[in-house]
Amino acid sequence: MMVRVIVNGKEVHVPEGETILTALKKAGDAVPTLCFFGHMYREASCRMCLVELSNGKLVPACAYPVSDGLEVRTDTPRVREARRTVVEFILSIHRIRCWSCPRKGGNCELLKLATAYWVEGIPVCSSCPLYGRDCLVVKGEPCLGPITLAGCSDPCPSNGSPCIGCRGPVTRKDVLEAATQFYVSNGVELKDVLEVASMFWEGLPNYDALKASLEEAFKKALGGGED
Amino acid sequence: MRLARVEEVDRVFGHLELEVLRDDGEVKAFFKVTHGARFIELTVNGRPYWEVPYVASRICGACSIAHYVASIRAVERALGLDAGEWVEDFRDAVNMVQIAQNHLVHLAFLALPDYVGVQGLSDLKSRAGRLVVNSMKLNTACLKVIRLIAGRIVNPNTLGVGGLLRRPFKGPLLKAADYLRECEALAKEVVDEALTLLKVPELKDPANNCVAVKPRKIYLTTGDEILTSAGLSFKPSNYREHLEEMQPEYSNSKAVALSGAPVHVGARARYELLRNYLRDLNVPKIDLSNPFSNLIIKAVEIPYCVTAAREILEGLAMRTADTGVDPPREGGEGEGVGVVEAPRGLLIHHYVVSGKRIVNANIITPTEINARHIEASAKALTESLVSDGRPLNAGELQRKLTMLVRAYDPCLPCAVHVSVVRGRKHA
Repeated sequence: MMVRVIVNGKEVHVPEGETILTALKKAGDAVPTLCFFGHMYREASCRMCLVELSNGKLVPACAYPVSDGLEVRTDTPRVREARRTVVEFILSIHRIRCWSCPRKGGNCELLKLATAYWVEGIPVCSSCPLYGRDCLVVKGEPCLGPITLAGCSDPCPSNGSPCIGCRGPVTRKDVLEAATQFYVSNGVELKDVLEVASMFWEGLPNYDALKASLEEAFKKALGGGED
Repeated sequence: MRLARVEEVDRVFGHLELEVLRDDGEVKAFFKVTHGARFIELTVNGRPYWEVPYVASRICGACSIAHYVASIRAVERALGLDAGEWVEDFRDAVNMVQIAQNHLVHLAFLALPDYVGVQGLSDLKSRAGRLVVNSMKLNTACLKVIRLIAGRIVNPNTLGVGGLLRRPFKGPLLKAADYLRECEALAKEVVDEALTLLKVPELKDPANNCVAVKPRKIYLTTGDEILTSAGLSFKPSNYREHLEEMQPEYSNSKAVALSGAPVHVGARARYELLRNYLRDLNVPKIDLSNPFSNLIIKAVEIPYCVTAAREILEGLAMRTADTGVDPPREGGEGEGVGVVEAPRGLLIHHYVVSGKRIVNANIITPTEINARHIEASAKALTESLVSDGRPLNAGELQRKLTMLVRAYDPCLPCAVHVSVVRGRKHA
């Protein structure tokens, strides 16, 4: 039996027992999904596909079954705010090591979501197409990719010139520490990194704190290397 | 007595105020740049020389390539580097595409509404819809070409000190040439339509002094000599002997004079001085001593730039580059001046390099050079519209004055890259 679902004011008919996501696909209104893999996995654990019902409830579209006359809205301020929180939560437990991630170079779903919902934390490496030995840091250059915010679609490293940090720094401490280890293991020195960083970041209110945490991270990484 | 005051000149890049006063029977015009000061020259100081273009190009988002090329040339002159002919040609081609795009935006979106008699772009669309749509198409195509060959629309990243950071492959060069070939007919159409609408007011230039860069090859290529309308020619490194910089108290930007007299740069100056380097620029019959004729020369430069850039790119694709890709990092001692014809006229970058660092920097932008000339023209325009010490029509005077300022196409973010702080001049 087909049931009637109203998606953003548009009427679609889907078989009973299907989820809201099926109705959304039929209506052509895409919502972001991360954990959804068809019939293989439907635990609704990532909560990226939250939609708003007419009674004001936020439900995950990939698991909520349709019923006759169900009204769904996919792009309300509440939905956007909820999704933003979801991206923040996911990123907070994400081990950000973009320079060694196999999905780097334009395949990162998290980067797309973080850019769409204005969440900071992912470095430029996530969109950089230079892998392995082509990586400028691996070559020993003070490229700021690992500690600069992503979202510029990476024109500098893909043209062979190192990132100069014009989009501003990543301030998450764990990312800074991991990036520092990456720098140290490739022989990039703190003074070179700070020299490039001072070009666009010196005037930032949090530059001193950032510099202090980078210095601390370098000390830690170098100390760890000597043991 | 105040004759006219335009508190905020709209449809220009940045913030600007224009005031015309009458003092002891004499008309005085003030070109007040109210855009906040930016300390680009101070930022460059102390930085490694290969980072100069990164910072210098941030002076202006509209003509970043001109600043990029000028700063690179200055540093190369200081260190005695030679980028080779291939790279110089490549820079010229990118600069030309940028000039075409800049002229187009200024002409179709900023200046033309005045001559059609509408308030802005949205009104212009109802009167000259085809022109607006074609201009937008052409603008997009030019930006696409810049992204393809220079890496990015603003602040390109394939050009570098001493050569290229990434050599463009033959494929993208030919593809860019193809895009430009498709644009040629469009550019002609846009400009023909714009020229039928441009009926410029009469005005006699009170001080017809101008300077422009003598091109290396054809019109609008870079060079290492500056020509003046007095028949002089001097090396860029001697620019301080001829061009005097001063800081007016009322403005955030500096102003420049040529041997004490106001001087203008831009499309009109180029055409006046460099006509011999042209092959086929179809300029309608105009009075070159009219400051408003700048707009007409700008319009006819658009198709010229598109064609010339296309020819240069096609030529480059057939030749192999004669420099390495890695910029040299040895450093040295020296002082160098780089000049380039930016969309708005002569642009001068001057750096002193010691070791690997810049120790002194001075930048002169076209708008600074034009500042005093705009004042002189505004004075002449006001005098022609005033009788018995009162404007004949205050609204008309104000409208004509803003039209005059827009005909020069001032770029205020460029002009305010330095200022006086606590009575001390940072340059």
